[in-house]
Amino acid sequence: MKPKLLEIKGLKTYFQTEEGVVPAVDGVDIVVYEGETVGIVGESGCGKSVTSLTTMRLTPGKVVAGSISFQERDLLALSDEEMRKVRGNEMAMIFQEPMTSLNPVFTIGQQIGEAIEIHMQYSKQQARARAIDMLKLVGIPRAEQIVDEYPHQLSGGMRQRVMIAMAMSCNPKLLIADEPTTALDVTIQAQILDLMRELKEKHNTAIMMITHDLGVVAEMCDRVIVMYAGKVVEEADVVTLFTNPKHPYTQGLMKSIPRLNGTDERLYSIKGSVPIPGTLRKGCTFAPRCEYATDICRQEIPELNEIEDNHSCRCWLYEAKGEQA
Amino acid sequence: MSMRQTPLVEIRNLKKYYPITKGLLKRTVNHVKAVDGLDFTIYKGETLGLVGESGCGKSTTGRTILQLLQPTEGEVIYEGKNLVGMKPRELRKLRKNMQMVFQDPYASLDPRLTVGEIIAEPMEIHRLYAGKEKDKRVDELLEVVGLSSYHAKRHPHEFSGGQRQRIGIARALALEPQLIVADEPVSALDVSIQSQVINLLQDLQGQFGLTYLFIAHDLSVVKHISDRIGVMYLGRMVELADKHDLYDTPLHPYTQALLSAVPVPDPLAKRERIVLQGDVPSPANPPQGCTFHPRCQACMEICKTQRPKWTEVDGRYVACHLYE
Repeated sequence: MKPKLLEIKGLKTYFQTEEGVVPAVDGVDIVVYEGETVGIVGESGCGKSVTSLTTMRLTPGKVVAGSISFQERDLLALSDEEMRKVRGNEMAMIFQEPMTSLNPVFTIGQQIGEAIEIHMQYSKQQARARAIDMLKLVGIPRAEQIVDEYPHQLSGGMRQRVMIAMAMSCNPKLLIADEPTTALDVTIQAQILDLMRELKEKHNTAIMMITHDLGVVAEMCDRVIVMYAGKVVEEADVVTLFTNPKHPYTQGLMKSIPRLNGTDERLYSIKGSVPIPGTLRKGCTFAPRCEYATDICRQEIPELNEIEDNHSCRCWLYEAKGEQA
Repeated sequence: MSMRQTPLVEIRNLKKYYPITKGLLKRTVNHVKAVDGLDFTIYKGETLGLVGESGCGKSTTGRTILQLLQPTEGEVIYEGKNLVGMKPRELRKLRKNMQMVFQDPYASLDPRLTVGEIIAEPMEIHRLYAGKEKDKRVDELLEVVGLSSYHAKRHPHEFSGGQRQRIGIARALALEPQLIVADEPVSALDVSIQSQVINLLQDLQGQFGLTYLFIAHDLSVVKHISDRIGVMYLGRMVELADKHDLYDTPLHPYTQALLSAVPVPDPLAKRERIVLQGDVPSPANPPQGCTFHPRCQACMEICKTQRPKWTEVDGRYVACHLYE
């Protein structure tokens, strides 16, 4: 087994709003091993983005419980200054909107160079040279000219490459990618996914990939974590999850996506809609939409149990591995 | 299918150019050719899918067909009548036969109106129903799209994205149209909600004999819902075929690349991906000849200078020099 790079335990991030406390992330456990790609899947409001932002300590929400250990250091215990040394250096992030996450008034070179100057103590000239190298690495043509251009002069795909160049510039151990290709067209998405795979192999970077696109997950990830309403509901390696999904929510998701090689049969659909965070009652959060829900599901929250080797599921339908008759 | 034989809308040489102006006198220096010469037919009762990447002109095509945008050139023949250049009064009468469902269910419903008022508005404009009859019709429509009559008194902000899209669909159905242009109707929705709305659209088609022009960038969704599919690139259609033919044997190199780029939700699937180089060129300054040639793997000399003709090959259409 590869060594653990990131271990999130019992994480709870709550938001204080006028209507009360919203438990956006409600007891999440995630482990990322060195050099692997972990996918975090779920629909809007399931807490996947808040989990990643909390890991970077960028969330405005309050961490009420849990720990985040990164390379055996407790991130939640670091001072702001110590955290700044980790962020962008050992751990970097790519955001969904390459349009809004680049600063429009600085050149590409200045923006990539900033992190390099801070974390690697390079001079301005060295940082610029490194920025050009990074742009070449992510496949941007005319890197020497692009480095002096502004974000608005680039297309969406090029901007996302710049974001990746920026994130990779200090050789991070962990790259958190929050919907990195959602805003892009499919042909550009294919280019970006190829690039991420290539960089991961070259630098042995672990990737935490947050997405709602099961196609992207199948292509990129080694392991997958499915989230629903602030909790992990299933976790397995990618092949197991796609061939033998256990949780009714995962099964429903798999059946409801139209496939290119699929038949024209009516799509399966999960009835109802995602619960609004903070409005949850007792019991399993998926119970109101679940075909198999029984009384216990409506009363008590199931545990995330390992039901087979390396396959966990939070559902009353399955018993933990050791307890099976 | 026999239904396919009757054309509902025939689109001939449809063009929509936007002028690029310069200087104090707003001199026109160039044009953005958003839609640049389309020829195709939408048959009664079918779903015609329109796919392509952002900026390829698929939304402009939908809006130009409905005359929400004035075409620069060309004809849109709806049941034998050319809509282009038609007198506004005449056009208004035909309008009720053609409705639109928009992408963003958050932006396409007036936040100050109740859902009942939103759905009733088209009926008032076209003086179709009034009074009690109108209210009854609103209730009916809400139930048809899977909502309840008590929702009529509420405002859009009280609904989730999927429910709002249902309201948008109810509004489009209010005038009993023949043709619905659906512009990315499910792309803003979550996966589990998306399939609900797709199923609803298909049920309604069966129930009311609707014809759809379904515009989307998600190829899996388009494949699922459509009978035939047109692929657009830089304002032109590059291929149009029955969906099974298109997916099994794509002819145009762009269609081939586009299909191979779609991530397959199966970790065991073998991938043979054609990764296109570069970005889509600007429609203000499209390449000479075939607009796809700078990114095409099968590019020949002729492609750089001559625009390929829209040719019929075994009952399907393609614009590529490989098949002329």
